[in-house]
Amino acid sequence: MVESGTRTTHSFGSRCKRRVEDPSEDPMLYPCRKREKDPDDSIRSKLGYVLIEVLCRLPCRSAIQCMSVSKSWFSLISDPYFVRRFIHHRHQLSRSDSDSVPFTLLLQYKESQKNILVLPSDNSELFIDCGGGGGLDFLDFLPCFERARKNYPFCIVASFNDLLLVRSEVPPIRKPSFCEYCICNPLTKQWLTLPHLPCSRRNDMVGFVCDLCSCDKEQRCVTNAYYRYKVVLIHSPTETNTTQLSLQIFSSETGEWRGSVVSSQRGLNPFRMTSLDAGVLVCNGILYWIDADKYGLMIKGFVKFDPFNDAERCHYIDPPINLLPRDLMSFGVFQGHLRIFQIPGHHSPHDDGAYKFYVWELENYGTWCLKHKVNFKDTVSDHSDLVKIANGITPPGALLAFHPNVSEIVFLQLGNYIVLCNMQTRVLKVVSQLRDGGKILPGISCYYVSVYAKSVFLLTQPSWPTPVPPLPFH
Amino acid sequence: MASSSTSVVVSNKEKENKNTKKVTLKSSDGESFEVDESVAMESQTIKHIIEDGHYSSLALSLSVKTTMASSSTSVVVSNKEKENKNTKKVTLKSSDGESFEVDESVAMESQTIKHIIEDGCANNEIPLPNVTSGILSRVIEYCKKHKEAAGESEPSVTSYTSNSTTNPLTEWDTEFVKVDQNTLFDLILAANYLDIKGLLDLTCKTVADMMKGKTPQEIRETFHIKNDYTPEEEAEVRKENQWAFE
Repeated sequence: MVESGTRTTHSFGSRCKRRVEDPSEDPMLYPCRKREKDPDDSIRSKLGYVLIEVLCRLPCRSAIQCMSVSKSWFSLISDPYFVRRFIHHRHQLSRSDSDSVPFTLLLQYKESQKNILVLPSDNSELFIDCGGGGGLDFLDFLPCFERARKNYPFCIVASFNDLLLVRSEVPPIRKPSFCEYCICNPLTKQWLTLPHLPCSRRNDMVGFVCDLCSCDKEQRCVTNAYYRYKVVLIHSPTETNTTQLSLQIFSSETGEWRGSVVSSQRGLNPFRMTSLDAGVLVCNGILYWIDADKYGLMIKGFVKFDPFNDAERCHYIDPPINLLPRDLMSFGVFQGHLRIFQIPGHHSPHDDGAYKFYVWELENYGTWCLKHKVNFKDTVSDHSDLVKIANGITPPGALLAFHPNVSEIVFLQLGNYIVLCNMQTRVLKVVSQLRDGGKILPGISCYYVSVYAKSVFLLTQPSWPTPVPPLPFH
Repeated sequence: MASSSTSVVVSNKEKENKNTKKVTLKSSDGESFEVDESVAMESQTIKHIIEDGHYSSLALSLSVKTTMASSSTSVVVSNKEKENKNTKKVTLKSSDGESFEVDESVAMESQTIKHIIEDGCANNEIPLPNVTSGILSRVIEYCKKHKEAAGESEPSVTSYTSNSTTNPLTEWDTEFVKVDQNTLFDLILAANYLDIKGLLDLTCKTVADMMKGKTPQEIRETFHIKNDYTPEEEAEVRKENQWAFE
């Protein structure tokens, strides 16, 4: 039903095998063997404890390299107990380290040519080689990648922490067409595929959410070694003002796709460009997407759905202010809070022609709070192109993502530049430039590549790579 | 003699505990003696008076003559002196039969020992069958040093941090772990058995640092570990976790 694997098809030995080595051979495992009374102690006993506690204090990469030291070390490190201990040990270290969570911003655009732009943070260890063509080649370890080679539909549709959800389709040629979803960790190259689905003709949106298991109830930490996950396929309402939403949900607990109908108190409209281009956002384990008016032009609000705790219904969130036509709005997440990025259009003759942007944050009580307000005219930059764009006559930029660690920093697209904007200092800095098929596009041009929010993926790097599939629960 | 010894003790105590509450005992013939409240409370009579609050903050009237008062005061003071110097001790007995007498507060750096004492199972001698005398003496040295440091500043000094900017004992710790491998591993086991977080962290981190940056072969050599992989098997392990080896 659910297939999984890593690059090679054989995995070395059975990971549950425990081999009791000759104690004289491995002083790290058996340093006190002269006092050892019970030679049948398993590796998890006091003696193996030395090695576990030492390895927990190594960087993850080094700990994994130690698998090749000896077979008994391999057994120990690949044991779920070790992974759990490793992850939990990190929880006990300084918690103020949230400032330096490594991350990678991954942009996917012009999907017909499969362009990828990767922006790792300074401390990121995820090295994605896009190849000369700047494409999805880094996913070539996936069995479904052959479809990409044949130019069948193949793209990344969602991400969660350090995992990606990839969709590929086999169009109807001889066999009936089907659609396949695949969850993978691009760092460790582990993957699993979900059961096939028939291709849908409707406009669907996809959400991918994991529920991490609690590591220690007292300290309230979670571990990414054990988790359950759901992939939620949201079918577009077929009529305006519907109060019933049709979903298809894959749950890791059941291992299958199940259809479900979810009720909404507010009428929902069919998905059009505004909703489809924004895609589904995950915040605190809850899915959010945009509900637009019946023409699909203006955002009416946000639909909220909790597949783990409240799967019978969805809720509605009104935007902070009533939006008008020509207002641009997109949403994102910052540290567990939903955020809106808004560029008001020019409505009144009093407008001085400058564009401003606002960042709103949804507080715990359901109210919106204005967090940042920036006038593009006030921004400063070393780069003359940015200055031109910021003072231009069209809305200068679009939101890509909020910086995961710093509240006042935001990633924007200005022209064909990827820009970092500090909303307090108002400094704009170019961090990258969009390419097409490997060729750098001119920063200012009459043709701007659209990078849709649904194709902006913020991958965070945990202390231990999330295993795919999750480790077996004891 | 009595009065001079009284004044000496009191002033020492003053230096040590600047905030100790003091009371003044006034003898019947008008001489005043200022002593620590705790010292004065050696006398049950005075204790009751103080506890009942029936006195002004400074003066107690005692119908005792000066010399008598001062002599009994000095006796009281010196007894307390001995008592304070006689902080509670426990005896730790190593697996090879050697006994170590340590301050209870130092011994309680070990959570294991702390629980034994708190459960009242101590009898003042605690056998530690998993720790040899050589290791135990080092562990005690560590606990003493860290307890002292904690006494001079906030208790959190002996906690998890190995960050040298917050841990003033970094240099001492570094010297402490300059021992042979066997001793180091024994220290890890002892720290685990005795549940001493700081020592466990220090020793494990030391071994981890010895491993960092080394190739698997170098690690084998450092720790005398036999490679039981065939070349093909080893290559397969690397291939499966290629990302970590790049």
